[in-house]
Amino acid sequence: MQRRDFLRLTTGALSAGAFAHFIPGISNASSPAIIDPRQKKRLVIMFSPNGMVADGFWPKTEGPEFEMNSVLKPLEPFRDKTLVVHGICNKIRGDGDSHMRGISALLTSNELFPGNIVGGSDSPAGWSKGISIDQEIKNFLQSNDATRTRFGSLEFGVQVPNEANPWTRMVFAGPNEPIAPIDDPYAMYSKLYGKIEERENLLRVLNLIEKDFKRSADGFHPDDQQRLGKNAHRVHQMRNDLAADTTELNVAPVELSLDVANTNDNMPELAKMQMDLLVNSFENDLNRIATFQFNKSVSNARMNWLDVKEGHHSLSHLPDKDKAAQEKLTRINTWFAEQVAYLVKQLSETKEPGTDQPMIDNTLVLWTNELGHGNSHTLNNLPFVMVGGGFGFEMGKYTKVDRVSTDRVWLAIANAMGHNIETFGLPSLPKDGPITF
Amino acid sequence: MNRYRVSICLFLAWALVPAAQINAQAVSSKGQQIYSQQCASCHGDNGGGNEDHYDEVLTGDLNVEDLAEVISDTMPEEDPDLCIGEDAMAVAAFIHRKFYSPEAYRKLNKARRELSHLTVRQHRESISSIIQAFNHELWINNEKRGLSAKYYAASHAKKSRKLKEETTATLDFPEKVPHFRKDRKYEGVKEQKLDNEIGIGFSAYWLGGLLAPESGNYEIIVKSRNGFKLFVNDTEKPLIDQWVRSSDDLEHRANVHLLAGRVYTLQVDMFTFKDDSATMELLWKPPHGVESIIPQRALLPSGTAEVAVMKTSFPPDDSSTGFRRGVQVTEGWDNATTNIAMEAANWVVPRIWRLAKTKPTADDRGEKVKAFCRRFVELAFCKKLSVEETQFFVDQHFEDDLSLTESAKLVIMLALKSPRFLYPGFESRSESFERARRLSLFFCDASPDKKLFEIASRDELKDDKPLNKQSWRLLYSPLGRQKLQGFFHDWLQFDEAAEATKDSDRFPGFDDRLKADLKQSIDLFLSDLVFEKEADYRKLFQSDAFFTNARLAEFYNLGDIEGESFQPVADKNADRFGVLTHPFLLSGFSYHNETSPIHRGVFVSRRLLGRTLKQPAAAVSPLTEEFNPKMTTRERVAHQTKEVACMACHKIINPLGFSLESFDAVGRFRDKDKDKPIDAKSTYKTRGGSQVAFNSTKDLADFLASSEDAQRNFIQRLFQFYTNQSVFAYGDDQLDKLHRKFVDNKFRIHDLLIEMADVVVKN
Repeated sequence: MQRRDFLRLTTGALSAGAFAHFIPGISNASSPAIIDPRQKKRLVIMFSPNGMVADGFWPKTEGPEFEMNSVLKPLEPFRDKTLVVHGICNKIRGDGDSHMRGISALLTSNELFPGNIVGGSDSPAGWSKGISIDQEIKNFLQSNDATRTRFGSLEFGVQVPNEANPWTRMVFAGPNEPIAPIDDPYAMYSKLYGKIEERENLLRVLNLIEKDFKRSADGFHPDDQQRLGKNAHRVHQMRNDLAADTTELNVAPVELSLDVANTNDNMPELAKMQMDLLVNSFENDLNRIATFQFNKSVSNARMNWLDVKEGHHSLSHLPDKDKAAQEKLTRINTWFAEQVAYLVKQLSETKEPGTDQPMIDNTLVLWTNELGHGNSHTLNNLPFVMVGGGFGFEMGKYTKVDRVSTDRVWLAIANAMGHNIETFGLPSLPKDGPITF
Repeated sequence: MNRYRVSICLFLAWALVPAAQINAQAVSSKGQQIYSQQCASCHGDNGGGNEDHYDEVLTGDLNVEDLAEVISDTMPEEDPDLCIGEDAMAVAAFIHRKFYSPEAYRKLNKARRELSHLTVRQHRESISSIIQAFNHELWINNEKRGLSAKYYAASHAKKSRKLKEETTATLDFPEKVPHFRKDRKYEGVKEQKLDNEIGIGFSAYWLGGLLAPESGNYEIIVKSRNGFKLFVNDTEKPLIDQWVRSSDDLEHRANVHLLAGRVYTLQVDMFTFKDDSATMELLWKPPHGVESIIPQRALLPSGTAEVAVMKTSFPPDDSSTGFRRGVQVTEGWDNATTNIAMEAANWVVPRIWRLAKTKPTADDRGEKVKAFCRRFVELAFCKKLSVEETQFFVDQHFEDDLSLTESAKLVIMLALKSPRFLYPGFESRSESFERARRLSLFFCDASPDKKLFEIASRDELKDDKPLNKQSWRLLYSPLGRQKLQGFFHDWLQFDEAAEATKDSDRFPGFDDRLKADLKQSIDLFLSDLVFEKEADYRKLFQSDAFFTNARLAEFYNLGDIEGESFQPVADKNADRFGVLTHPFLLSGFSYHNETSPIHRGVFVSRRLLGRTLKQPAAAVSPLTEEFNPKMTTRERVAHQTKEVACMACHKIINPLGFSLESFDAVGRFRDKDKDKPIDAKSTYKTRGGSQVAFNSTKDLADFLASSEDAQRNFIQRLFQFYTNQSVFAYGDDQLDKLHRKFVDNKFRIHDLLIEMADVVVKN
C-alpha cells in the first residue's frame, strides 16, 4: 500500500477513541465539534519586525472609505472585514531597549525583569514579568471542556534565529517563561501529525519485516526456530493492531513540499507552508490560538526575492528622506501584508468543518509590529491591522484612537472571546478597561 | 550404636580412597533402589522435582560425603531416621553420579549455543556504534585531562581581545573565573573606546569532552550568576540556556542520559557585561553518585561528534541462568525494539545532512543520503548487501513520492527492526564479517566500529595476526574497558554493596559521599590492576593497594593525603587483600550497625568460589545484639545456625564469613568485638572435601588466589558475561582448556579474554 493511499484511508473515518493513544487528547477535543461552529472563536496574532514605513501604510481618511495604499493593498479584497487602528501604544518602560520591549512586552503589556542582556544604551534586562495575551486566552479556553483543544495554542515562526533572548521571544507562558516559536514547518508538522506519520511508516516497515522473517535461513534448532516464529507472530500482531486503528481528523494533514531547507531565501515558501499548517490545524480543531512570528525584532533578514539586498534592520535605520530605502521598506512591508492576505484568503476559502461557513467569520487575524516607526524606535502608534469576524468589532474601517495602551486592545479581544478579565499586564497601567471598536 | 560404627567406617573409607574406586557398582544399585523407594515420589525420577512436593531441581556442588551427611540428617523429611549411614551414602553416591553433581547435571541438560537476540545493552550500544561509524574517530590521549579554556576581554569571542588560552582541570570558580578583572583593566587591551564595549565585557569558553563512567542518568548542575549556556553531547541545543539572566537563581540543573565508555562533547559559554563578578562551577551527580564538581579525570580537552544515546526503555534481559541472555520474546520486548527503531530514525533525520556528508541544498544530496542509508544497513547487519538486499532494504524506499528524510527514516526503521539486526546469528556472512561481529559483541557489546568494519570489508580477519591485533585494540578501547568494568561490577555485586547505609552514631562520617569515594576507590584499584599492571588474577586478592583520597584517608586513618584525587597506599593498620578486604564490599556486606559474617560468607562462597547454595528453607531474621549483649557477632551467628537443617549450607558459609571478622561493618580493621579479641580462625571444607584452615584473612586471600574452584568460577563467570552463553556450549572440556591456558599464562586476565575471544570467534 502506498502511504498516500493510506492517509486517505485513515482520515475521515470516525471510529471512536481507537486512535486516542496515538494522539493524546484528541478524543477529549471531539465534543466541541458538535457545538454550533459560530461559537468557535479563533485568534491569530502575526508579527513582523523593525517598525512600519512612514508613508504608504497609514490611510489618510478615517472611516469606511479609507485608502488601502501600497502596503495595505494586498488586503483590498477583504476591505469589509478589515479594521486599521492608529494610536495603539506600547507604554511599557523600564529595563531593556526599545526592540527588546518592542517584542517582549508587546503581547504581555508588562515590563521586563532586570537582567544581563544589554542592547542599545538602555539598562540590561531579562525576560518578561508577565504572561502574554495569547497564552492568557489559551489558558482560559483550555480550562473549559467546551473550548478545550489538543494544543490550545500553536506558536509559528518563520526564520526565527536559533537564539533565545529578549529580541527573539514574543510569547510568554508566565513570568520568566518564554515560549520558543517553531520555525521549521516539518517540526510543526511532526508536532501536529507526527504520530500519524509514524504509524504509516511503521505499518509499511512491519509489512516488510514480516517478509524478512520469511526469508530466513533454514536449519535452526527447533527451539531457536520457535523463538523466531514467536517474534514473527508478534510483528504480525502489531501490524494488525495498528491497521485496525483509525483517526478522528476532520481533514487530512496538509501535504507539505518536500525537503525545503530552513534558509533565509526560502522564507516565502516557509511562510506559505506554515500558514497552510495553521489553517490545517484550525480545520482539525487542534488549537484556537496561533501566533505567527516573522524573524525577530531587529531582524536583519535579506529579502532577496524582493530584490532587496540590504538587511531589513539596517534599512529601517535610514532616515525617512532616503527615498530609496523607504521604497525598499515599503516593498518589504507590502510583502508582509501579502502574507497576511494569503492567510486571510485561505481562511475565507476554508469552510468550518461540516458547514458552509467560511472560517474567517470566526477568526480574528491581527497583524502588528515591535515598533511604530523604524528609525525613531518609537513604541507609539504601532501598526495594528485586524481582519476577520465574529468578535463583535465594527470592521471595514480605519480608526484613530488617542494613545491607547496595548493592554486595552488585549482586554477587548479577551472579552470578545468570552474571557471576561478586567485588567491585563503591568498593574500600574491605568485601569481604563477594554477599548471598543 | 551399630549403625554409628558402620558410618564411621565408611567415612574413613571415603577419606582414604577416591569415590569412584570403591565398589561403585554395588553401592550405586543399592542407592538407586533406595532412591526410587524413598525419594523419587517427591524428587522425581531424575531429581527434576515434583510440583506437589518439591519443585526444585536436585542439583548442587556438595561432594558425596557431605551429601550423604545431609541425607542422613534430614531425609526423608517425614522420618529422617529411615535413611542414614550406609544407606544414605549409597543414595548420595547414586544421585551424585546420576544427576546431582554439576557434571551429571550438565550431561543431562546439554548446553548449546542458542540463537539469541541482542541484550538490552548490546541493542543500545550497537545503535550508538552504527551512527558513530559516520563520524571521525576520537583518539583519546589517556594522559591529558581537563577542559580547553579561552578567555576574552569582550562579551563575545573577539580574536583581538583574547586574554588567555589554556587548559583548566575543573570548573570550580565560586569566587572568580580566571582572568576576569572587576576593575575591567585588562593588560594589553587598549583603554581607548573602540566601541561601547571596551573594558566592560568579559567572556569565557570551555570546551572538551566528558567521559561517562557509568550508563544512566546524569544530573548536571551549573552554579553561576552570569549569562551562560551549557552544551552536553548536543552542540546545537543547549542543555541549560541561561544566556539571559532574568532572576537571581544561582543554581541551574538539567538531566542527561549518557552511555558509559563514550565521550560526549561538553561546552560552557559564559559572558558578562557590566557585571561586577564572574563565577562558574560545573558539577554533576552521576548515577549512584553524589553531587560534586566534575572531576578532572572525567574531562578531556577535546570534544567529539554527538553520540546517539537511545532512551527507549526495555524489559530486563532474562538472567534466570545466572547471566544475561537474549532469549525472551515478549510483547514488551517487541514493542521496545519498535520504539527504539523509531527513536533512532527520529534521531538521525534532523542530523542526516551532516551524517551523510551533504547539504539540504546540494545537488548530490539524493545520492549521498542513499549511500548513507545503505551503509547504515550494512553496519547494522555487519555485512555487504547483495543487489537484491539493497533493493529490499534501501532502494525501494527511494522510489516513492517521499522526501529524502522520510525515505531515510523508513530504511533505518526497517534495518533496526529486521531479525538480521536483532539476531546476530540469524544469517550467515563472510568469515571476516562473522569474526568482526563476534569480536565486537564479545569485547564491546556493540556492532563493529568503523575500523573493524573496514578491516572486515577488506576480508582481513581470516588470519590470526590481524584478528589478534583487533582483539587487543577492542579490549583496550573505551567500550572494551567499560565492559570489563561492567563484569567486575556484576561479579562483585556492586549494586547490592552500594545499598549499604550505616548507623551514624556508631560510624559517624560514613555518608553517601564516603560511599561514592569507596566505589571510586575500588574501581580505580580494578582498572589499575587490569589495564596498568600485569592483570594478574591472583592480585585481586593479594594486592595491598588501597586507593584513597583525603576523605578516605581521614576515615580509615591512612595518613596525610590531600585533595580529591586518589592514590594507592598501604593500610598501616591492617593488611589489605585486594577486593576481598576493600571497605566498599566489606561495608556493603554488613548490617548498618555490625558485621554480617553470613552476607560476607555467602558472597565469598557464591561469587568468589562458585559454590551453589540453596535458599534458606525459611526466612529467618538475624539475632540482634539485644539477644545477648555480651555475645560477639560470631558467637551469635554460630548459635543461630547450629541446627542441622541450617548447617548444610552454613558450614560452607560461616567459616568464610568468620575469617573476615577482623574488619568491622565499615571495613575498618578491629581486634575486638564486645571487648573480646576477634576470632577470625576457621576451617573450610572445599568442594573436593579437603579441609582448609584459615588462621587469618590472609589465609583466605591466599586460598582464593590459588584455589582451582575459585579460578574456574572466575573463568566461567567471565565467559558467560562476555558471551551471554554457557561456557559448556563451547564443549564439555572448554572450561578445562581455558583453565589450563589461564595457569600457563600466569593468570593474566587480559590473556584469558583474548583466549576466550579466540574460542568464540573460531567455533
